[in-house]
Amino acid sequence: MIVSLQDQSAIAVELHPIHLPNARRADFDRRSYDYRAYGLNFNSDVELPWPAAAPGGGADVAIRRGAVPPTLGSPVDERGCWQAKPGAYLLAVDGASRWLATEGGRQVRVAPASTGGDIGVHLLDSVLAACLQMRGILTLHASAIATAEGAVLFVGSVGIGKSTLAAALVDRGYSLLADGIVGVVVDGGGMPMALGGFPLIRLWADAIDALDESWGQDAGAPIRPGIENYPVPARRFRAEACAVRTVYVLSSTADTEVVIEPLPPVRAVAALIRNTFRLRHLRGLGEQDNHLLAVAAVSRQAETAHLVRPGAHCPPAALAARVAERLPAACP
Amino acid sequence: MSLIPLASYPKSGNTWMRVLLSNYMAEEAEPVSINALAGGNIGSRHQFDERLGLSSAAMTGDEILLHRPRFHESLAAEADSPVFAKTHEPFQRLPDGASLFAPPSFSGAVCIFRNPLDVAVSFAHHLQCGIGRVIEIMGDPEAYLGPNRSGIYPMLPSLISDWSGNVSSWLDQKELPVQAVRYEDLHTDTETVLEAVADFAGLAPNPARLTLAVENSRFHRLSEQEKRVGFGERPPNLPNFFRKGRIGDWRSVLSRDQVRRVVERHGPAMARLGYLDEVERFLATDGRARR
Repeated sequence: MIVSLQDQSAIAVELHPIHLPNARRADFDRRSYDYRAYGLNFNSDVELPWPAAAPGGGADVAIRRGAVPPTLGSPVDERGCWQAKPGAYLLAVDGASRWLATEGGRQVRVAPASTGGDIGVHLLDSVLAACLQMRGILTLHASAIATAEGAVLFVGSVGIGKSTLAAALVDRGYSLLADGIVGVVVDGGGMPMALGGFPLIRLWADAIDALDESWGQDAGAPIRPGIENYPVPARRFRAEACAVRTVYVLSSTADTEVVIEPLPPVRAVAALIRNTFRLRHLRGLGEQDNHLLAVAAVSRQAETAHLVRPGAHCPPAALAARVAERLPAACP
Repeated sequence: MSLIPLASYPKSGNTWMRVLLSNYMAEEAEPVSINALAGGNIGSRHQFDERLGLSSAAMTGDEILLHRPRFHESLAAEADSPVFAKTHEPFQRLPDGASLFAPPSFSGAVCIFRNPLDVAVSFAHHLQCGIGRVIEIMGDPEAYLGPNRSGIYPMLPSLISDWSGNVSSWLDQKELPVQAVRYEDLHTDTETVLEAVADFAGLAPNPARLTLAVENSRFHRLSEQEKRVGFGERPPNLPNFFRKGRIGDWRSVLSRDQVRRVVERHGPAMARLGYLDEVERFLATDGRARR
């Protein structure tokens, strides 16, 4: 059986705390990991697959090991592996782990199962999304870059090429804002602001092969053994929030031409809703109104366009070059 | 409600059946858009991730498979009428012994079969490869559609297995009632076959609707629509998805040796579906003629 480090420490702490030497006890007690993304400080006693940040400031999200009930009391909505009600969210992954977010996403408890391998920690995207959604943050299936005139988002479903395009634009001098989940908040003046996520792009091996060779050189270990998806640090990254300037809805075609055409507001709204990361959480969390307000703000304030890329034989650099023709300059 | 898989090996008429059912359910004077067909593929990665709250990109093939029944439960729970779901997968057991397409999420299956010799012609065009290569693929029990491990595509990886294994899995399983449809019968008497499928799915067949649906689903209308607006499910590099829809093209495309190889590999399953006699007659007659 392969047990990850986190699982071993969990077993030790839960089953044998009294017998541990004091030095090791202290070591466990001290172990803590800090992360920063989406304008939030995360402090966790579970090591997460995110890039570490310097400790500092109070924790906006405290992630702790602890008992997690198998179900959420009186959930408003439950589907698949999750349950939700206003202010609380529970994700239970069969045989791997359970995650419970409470207090509007300020407290997260995690119960790693003693068996189940390493899958649990890699499935916390939904928990992160719920913590953002409970704060009224719009979560999009997207990648985003910062330009001198604001954020440019590429939204689209899983596997459509958002991360690869973002990486190719980083090669052209733009800074990554976020990849995977792009968080958008509406500021006091009604302006949608894209939040800086993690300074990482998750790339598949075939994308790395198609990109500049530096991406391969910088790639870390795959996200899980046997899955050829690699978190790669972005050489240019902007952590500060950035007004949303343009949203491209990305799709692919069997044709060979790149097509960029304006997207009428009604279709843009539909695309933003369709590409909301974990859209189905919102009803249970009671966040549907905030979601619609944020979607409306994006469609009102940002330029929206449809970006259709050829499904084959379109090198990322060539697609990025076409997109860059329409982009403002990179941030100085 | 529950789901009804439209199950077939690739290039066996699945999309045509979706067109027919879409036109039947829509009951519009004009044909439905080929880009808004009912019975979308059940292996949508986006749907899987969003409904379950999991990220399939971080999951192994077995982990995804083990979570499929719960995904199907979620789809079935929201269905308020029969929901057709296209699949090219065989009926199969999961690593934990459960069935992938088990009741109550599924209430029955519409299985579409086609002469594997014609499948070879159409599949070779679809994959843009030679007949020899496609015969190899059709004989591979481990054949998968979609991604290898080094990339990600919008669909979950789906086993298609070999042609015999695929069709036999559906014919042999005992868990779901099956409405078996032969592509050739659909071609010959579209209305009767559609009526049987509609009845099987609880759609209360109605003669006027059947006639209209068949008329709106004719091949020339599909290819005309594809020329005009394009077909979103067309694979890259393929000039057109809706091609000929003919039966018996194998006689002029496959070599006698290729026909023999298909018969050697798939003869028993071909016999079960009534395809073998005709092919054996062809091999015998044609052989004598050439001598």
